[in-house]
Amino acid sequence: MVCSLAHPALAQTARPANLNQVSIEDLMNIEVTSASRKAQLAADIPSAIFVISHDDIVRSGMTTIPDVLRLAPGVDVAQINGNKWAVSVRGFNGLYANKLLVLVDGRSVYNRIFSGVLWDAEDVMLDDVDRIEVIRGPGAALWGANAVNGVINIVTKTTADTQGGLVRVDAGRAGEQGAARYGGTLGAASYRLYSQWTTRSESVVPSGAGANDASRSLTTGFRADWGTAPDALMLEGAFTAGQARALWPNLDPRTAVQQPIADDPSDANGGHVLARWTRTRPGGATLQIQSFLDIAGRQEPVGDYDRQIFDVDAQYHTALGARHDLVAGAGYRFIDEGFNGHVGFSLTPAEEHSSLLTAFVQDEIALFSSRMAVTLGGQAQYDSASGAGVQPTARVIWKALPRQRLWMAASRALRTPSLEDRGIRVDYPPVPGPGGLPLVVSVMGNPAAATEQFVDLEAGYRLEIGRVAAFTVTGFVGHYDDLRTTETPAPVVQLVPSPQIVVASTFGNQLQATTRGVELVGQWQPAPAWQVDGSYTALHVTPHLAATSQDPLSAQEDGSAPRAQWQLRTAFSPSARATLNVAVFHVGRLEQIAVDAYTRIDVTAEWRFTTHLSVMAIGQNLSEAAHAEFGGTGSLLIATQMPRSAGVRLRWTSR
Amino acid sequence: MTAAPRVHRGWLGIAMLALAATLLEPPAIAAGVGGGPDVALKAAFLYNFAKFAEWPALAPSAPIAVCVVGDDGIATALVETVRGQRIGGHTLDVSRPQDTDAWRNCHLLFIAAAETRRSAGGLGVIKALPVLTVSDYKGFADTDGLIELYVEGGRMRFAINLAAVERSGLRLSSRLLGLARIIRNDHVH
Repeated sequence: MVCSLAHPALAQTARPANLNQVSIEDLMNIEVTSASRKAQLAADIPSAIFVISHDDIVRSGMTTIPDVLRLAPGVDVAQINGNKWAVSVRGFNGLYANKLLVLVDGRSVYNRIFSGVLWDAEDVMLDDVDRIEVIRGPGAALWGANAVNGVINIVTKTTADTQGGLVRVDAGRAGEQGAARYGGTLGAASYRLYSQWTTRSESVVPSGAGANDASRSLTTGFRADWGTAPDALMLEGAFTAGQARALWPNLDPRTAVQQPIADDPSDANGGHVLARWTRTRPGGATLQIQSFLDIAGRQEPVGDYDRQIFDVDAQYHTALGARHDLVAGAGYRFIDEGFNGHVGFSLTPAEEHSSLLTAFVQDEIALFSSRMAVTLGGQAQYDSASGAGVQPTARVIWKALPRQRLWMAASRALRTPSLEDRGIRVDYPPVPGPGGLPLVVSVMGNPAAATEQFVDLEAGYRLEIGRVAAFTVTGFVGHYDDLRTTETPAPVVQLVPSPQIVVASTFGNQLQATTRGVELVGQWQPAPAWQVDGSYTALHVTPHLAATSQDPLSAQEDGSAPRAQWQLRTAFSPSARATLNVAVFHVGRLEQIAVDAYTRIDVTAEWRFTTHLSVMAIGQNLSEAAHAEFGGTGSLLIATQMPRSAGVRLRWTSR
Repeated sequence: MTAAPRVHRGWLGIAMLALAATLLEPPAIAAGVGGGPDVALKAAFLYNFAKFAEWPALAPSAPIAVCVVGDDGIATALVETVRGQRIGGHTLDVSRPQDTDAWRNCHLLFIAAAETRRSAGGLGVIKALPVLTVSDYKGFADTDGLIELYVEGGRMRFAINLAAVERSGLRLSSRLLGLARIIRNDHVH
């Protein structure tokens, strides 16, 4: 079984409602479900899309979703410590990177308290992931607010594709992971049950000593699929319990010592259940209704938070006449979230109930005998916490020649203010200030925090050379308005209750920024058993700080992202039993938060004893003893360094 | 921890939703696994398989009999797909045979995953006949089936069992074989 190395090929025209004119080669390039909320030729999507395949994931030897995202061009993945990651696309990275929307099987895992994705809680069993679709650029017209810089769709396999048993054990310097799954059938239904246990070893501090940030987690879940067309029902759920240590800054005024807190483990627990019903009508139109309940709680040294989300969402996809392909939908989400801050941290209000109403419509119009397609769409939402907003998009793709595509898009997207933006308060412990007076610094949220706005222009070109190579180039210019700033007025001397100097910062929205970038992606398959993937991404952020702003740091805003990053990966199968995979990732220097450039080299070698049993040697971060990927003011946590690691994986499947 | 009582209330909610979901769609109504938005795509693949197959003794004016078992959605989509289409002068005639005795009259036979196990006997009878059998049941092409449709990396793929093709007396074009994952007698899936 040599790996299947398929290119996201460029192909002849196709519209889902009329597939009988499509060649079989091109049928094989149609995404079965997709980023555009409908099945579509990957190459015909007028946005910068990249799909990480199941084979890519397995070959990488990686064990977490954020690490796997390194494989996608233009995704900026920075591990902060042994168990926390900063992940963004096209800039503005951080522990809470707030402009990237992430969905796991259609369920948003974007956290509204802090605005961002808590990657350590997304303990997905990678063996059963079918693919990860990464869309760079705004996806808000389909997916709603906070899909500003990109959308990531993690799609797991259907239960029909995960029948039988699987056991995998990974062990090495980075930690251990054990995963087990059983898939079977029960009458007309098929199902799988799975469990995954992970321990992650501590990272290191610059001296080479351990950073005391080990972690562990256990996830148990299920998925069941019933029915065949015209009706299909999917039900899935999972529960995760995790415990992690980290180097947190100590804000306890009683000790007033700037020593990190290390011995206070954080607990994170969460569970969800999701049901999706799909009906296909004669002629191919589909109606889909999905609902999920997601509950999570977390106890950290800075505070305890919990949230409950109930969501229901319906969408309809149909062809209208010969030219129009319409997708429309509406959704309702109820969010109950609370934060009970500890030493120095508090949130006002400590608990909030909010409702989110959304509706979207998108029409793809075929023109000039389907040689051109124009997509017009938009999403309107009412958020009880931050008000109404509209997020439109207009896209055009020109299928000029059979193996070439040219597309352009203009979009608007919004990032809604989080509970943290509106109501956080952080009181730092007093430090000795000028004249021997205690200096008291505090940072406060802004109850009138504005919604961040983004307008983006993109263009892309795709070229396929025969069936052995594909090349894409994407360029974009974006403009952000009302970005969050931390306004710090001049210090004030207070005499009551005791003499002290007070610096009270408040969040504002006084920053604009322009981003420009180019993304080059190439894939080459010189032989059926040899694939080479490469990409280069350049990003430039120009801040425009309002003259009235008192936030000097924002004047140097560079998005906490590298100006340039590139990767080169090669997978080679010398025989049906062996695969060698080498990946080199280079990430440029993070100027503002002072993190040096680094080059990461990962090597995996897999040997399949039988179709059931295989062993893989995994080497990660091989180029250096350790390197930092994030740090400074980019994260509340104290960033550490990622050490070189080696490990081994044993994998058994019953079929 | 102040959060604890609320979390408990939440788990009750999960149980309620799970219960509601099972009531929403009694499993008895359902007939198999899969379906959804890939129905039109599967129908398009079936149409293409017919294009690249050659049946011995197919009369010039006879229609190609396309049979669909266990998936009305695919049958409906296939009727749309083949409307007004001709393959080498042959029209296509989509039907849904009610019993396995009628399978021998099919040129192309699609059996939905959920039906495969129940219809093993029917398959045994036609395996030496020129019937192009296709299914999305995992392992179909490892046994008596000719073509197995499967999803990999988000895209539809297919496997062809060469021994079964030879036994059936059908001829498949090299273009089709070149795109397929080939399964031979001596090869374990």
